[in-house]
Amino acid sequence: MIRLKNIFKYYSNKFLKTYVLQDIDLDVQQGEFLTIMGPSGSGKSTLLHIIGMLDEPNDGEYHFLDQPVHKLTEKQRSELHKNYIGFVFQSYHLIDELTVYENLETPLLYQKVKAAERKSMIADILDRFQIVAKKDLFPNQLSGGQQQLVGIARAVIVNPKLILADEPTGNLNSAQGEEIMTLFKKLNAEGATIIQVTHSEKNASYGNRIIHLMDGRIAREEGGK
Amino acid sequence: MFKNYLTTTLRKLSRNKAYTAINVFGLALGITCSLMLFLLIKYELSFDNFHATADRICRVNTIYVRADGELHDTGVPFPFGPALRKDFPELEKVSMVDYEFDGLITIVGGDKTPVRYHEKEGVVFIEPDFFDMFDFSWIAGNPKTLAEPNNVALTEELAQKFFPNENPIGKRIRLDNKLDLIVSGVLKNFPTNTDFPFKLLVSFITVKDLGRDLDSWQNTMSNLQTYVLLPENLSFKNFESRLPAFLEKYWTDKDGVNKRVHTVQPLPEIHFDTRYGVFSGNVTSKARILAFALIGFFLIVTACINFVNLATAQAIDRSKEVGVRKVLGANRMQLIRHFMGETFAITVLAVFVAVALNELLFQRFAEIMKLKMTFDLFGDAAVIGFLLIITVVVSLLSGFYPALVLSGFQPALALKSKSTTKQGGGLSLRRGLVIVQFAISQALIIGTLIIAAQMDYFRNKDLGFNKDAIVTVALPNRDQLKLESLRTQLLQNAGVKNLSLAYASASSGNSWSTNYQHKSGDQIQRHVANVRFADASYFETYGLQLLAGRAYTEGDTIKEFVVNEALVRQLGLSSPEEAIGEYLTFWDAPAKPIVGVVKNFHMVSLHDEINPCIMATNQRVYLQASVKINLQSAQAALQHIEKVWSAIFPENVFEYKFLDDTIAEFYEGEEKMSQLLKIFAGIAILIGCLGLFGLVSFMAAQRTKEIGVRKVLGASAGDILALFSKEFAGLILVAFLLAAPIAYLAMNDWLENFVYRINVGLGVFLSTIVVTFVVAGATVGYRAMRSALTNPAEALRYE
Repeated sequence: MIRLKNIFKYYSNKFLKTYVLQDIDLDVQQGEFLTIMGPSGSGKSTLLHIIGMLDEPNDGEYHFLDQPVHKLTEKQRSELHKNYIGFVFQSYHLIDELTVYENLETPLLYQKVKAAERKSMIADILDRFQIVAKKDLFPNQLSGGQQQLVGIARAVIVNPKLILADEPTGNLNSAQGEEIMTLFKKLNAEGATIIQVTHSEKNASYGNRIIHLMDGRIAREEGGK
Repeated sequence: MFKNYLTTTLRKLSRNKAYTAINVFGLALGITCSLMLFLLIKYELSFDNFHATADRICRVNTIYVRADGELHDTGVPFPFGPALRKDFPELEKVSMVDYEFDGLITIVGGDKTPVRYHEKEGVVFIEPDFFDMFDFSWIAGNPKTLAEPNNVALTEELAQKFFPNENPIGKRIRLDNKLDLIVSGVLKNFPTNTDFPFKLLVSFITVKDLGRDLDSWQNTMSNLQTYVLLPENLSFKNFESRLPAFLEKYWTDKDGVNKRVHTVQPLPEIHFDTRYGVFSGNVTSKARILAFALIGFFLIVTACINFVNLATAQAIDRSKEVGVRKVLGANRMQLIRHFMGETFAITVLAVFVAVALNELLFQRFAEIMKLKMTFDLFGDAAVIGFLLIITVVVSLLSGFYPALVLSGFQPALALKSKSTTKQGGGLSLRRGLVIVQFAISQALIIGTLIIAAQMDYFRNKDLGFNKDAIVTVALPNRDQLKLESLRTQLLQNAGVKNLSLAYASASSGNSWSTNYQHKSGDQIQRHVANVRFADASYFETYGLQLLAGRAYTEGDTIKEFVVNEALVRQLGLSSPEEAIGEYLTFWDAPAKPIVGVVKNFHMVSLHDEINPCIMATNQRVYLQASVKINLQSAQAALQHIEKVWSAIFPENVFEYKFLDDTIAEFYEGEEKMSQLLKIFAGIAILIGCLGLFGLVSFMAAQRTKEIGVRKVLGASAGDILALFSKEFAGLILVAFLLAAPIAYLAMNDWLENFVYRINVGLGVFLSTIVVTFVVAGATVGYRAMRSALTNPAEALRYE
């Protein structure tokens, strides 16, 4: 599904290049639940953003579903991204001005889903995540766990093939965290490919493969085939 | 999709009330002003454009060519019109118009006591052809009745005033106690946007009864004008080219001093040509209209700049939303549309506020401009069109850049709130915009101050005579006994210090010029000069200063002359003393000696130079009494004047005017401009400060951490304040360097309109910079103080 080859990412500051990612090679198969681990500043998030097409590598090749992402225009990338990828963030990133319902609706609007269909899809996901009662509340009226629940609901409402999660439980207490991770496990079982970034060994244990980053390089790998 | 944008937009706006208020209010102010100016310009441009044949109508003007330049006059001699008709049969219509301005109307109805009205404008002698050229509509009667002598047509307004609830047709009125007229028609009130503000229209042929010189080609009076409707195949130029031969043929009593040519002025140019006048007195130069348009444009620009500044400053706050939306699949175009939509919503809101403000303030504005304009939102397609265009242009102008910046955020960075000032559109750009804003404000302030200084100069300049406490009243007739009795009776009251009967007061819009001859040696020199006929007490009443000789003695006819310095120079004499004993003559009268030379005094407004002037007694042309009163007992004096005057002239309506006010009216146009600039400069500053406030707030938010750290390291509130002030002081200085030369050049150009004017000194510029510093300082200081006083622990906790 995903094939990264010789990916480099650096920031230039005058004559000094600071490498964030160096020579990353990575293959991810459909249906995997991959965890990226590593200390702060090792390039985890950057890697995730590159996979999610929110950021571009300075060098290297990236194939997503056999399409050469590095050769696509911004518009084509945006199409790929919005049709196949869902994002979950540590700090949820809900739109503060919109209610739960409207937050869930936003990605559907960008995908130009028809009104009637939108309604049923939102009703469906509210039901599935058991947040029907919260649909008219604004993000700041929800607890962290509930906000993250909405965040995940919003990520999966378009049935993405790939879910990217950047420390999804980082701002939650352990009970809430466990609930969220169980949910990811379930989504993975239902067929979604998941890539998460985390510091927590415990969260990593929900997945089936772990790569460790160190100073922008893959230091070692556990699990997988 | 749209609904989603709208909800976010509305919620965002209602959440950030201060931001919304600053934005909407700033924009609304800018739009209000530009709407007002738009209506003003539209009104000015609409003058007499509603006549179906407006593009074929012209006025025949006169240009006197003299050694010292050209003199433009709107008048023609009396026989001009009839001769035109005879020699140019191809002209479709020709009408002479003799505008009298005011008139005393007496309604004599059967055995009732006569009722008198003084109509201050609108009395005119006119030919029926006029109504075949100009579209003024008749309600009763028809233009043909004005072919007969002693017929008069009234507008509805006057008909109703003179004959309430009666049929006016066939009723009799008296004009100036001289002409008995019969009402033969009623016209619809003339619209306000015409330079022909007629109300009481007497058949032109009636002029004969006024004893005017109907046959002479020698003299022109500016209020006696000729209008011509050309046939379609005759151009203005062509017509004009045939006038010299025409004049040559008829003007046989030439005196050799005056050379003149007749020119043709198309009707659409009449309202804008300041060299000539119009009956309405309201000539507006194209330059002034351009100035209005520029001011309106600049105010809109400042308002838009505000918007851009605030929006980009807010960008950081919004970076997260941008990031999220991008992650959720929005592409850049969609985001641009979103943000443009938001700007559009704010603009629409501002337009509504602006319309409301206009409803409230437009009448006041029209009063300041002394124009009879109205604001009718829905009755006027142009207004709606203007508002639509403004909405679109302002949305694009102020929305496009922020939308571009916001939509360009890298989602990965935006989500980490790492979009820095650099990404937020560059502080340097925002600085540039603030500079433009302040340059506009400062240019307007400089303009205001210079106009105010010139106005002050008008008020305080030594005119060469004492204008204080002088009241002028008209003299309805020149009966010698009556005038003598007026003089003696008025002087009996202790409140009346002095009194002079004259053709005009010392400074007057009413000037009379004539040719005169001066015999030096064997040669006879011919010159043109103003004449000012006045009794001997004129000198004392106005405190005129004699440089040589003495004042002339009292008399009924021309006996002796007093001249001014300018005339001494005109005669080629080097000192006033030399002029004493010289003989002058005009009007074929016997030559009389010069007995005194008076110091130059301003007989006309300060727009114009002091011309050579000859003064003499000549009782049969005295039109005005100038009464010097004691201001301590002004009330009593005025009552006394009224009592005496009304007893002597029982058939007239008493009115008085202070000379101060008459002189102030000379500068009405400048006064209006001054008022206008004051208001708009104020608004420009206000808008600028709103933007500045927004910008400082943003900077304060941006630098919360820096300020916290500095305070922890021991900076005082004053240090923090200085940090902000330095930044803005620089901007204002740069703006000033931009504004000062431009404003200086523009205002110098304006000052060229006046022969007597101020020198623009450093003071104006110093005041401007001080004013801007104080106002901007207060704005910045208030906001900066707040962050300077924040507890550093709190500031640092955010990170």
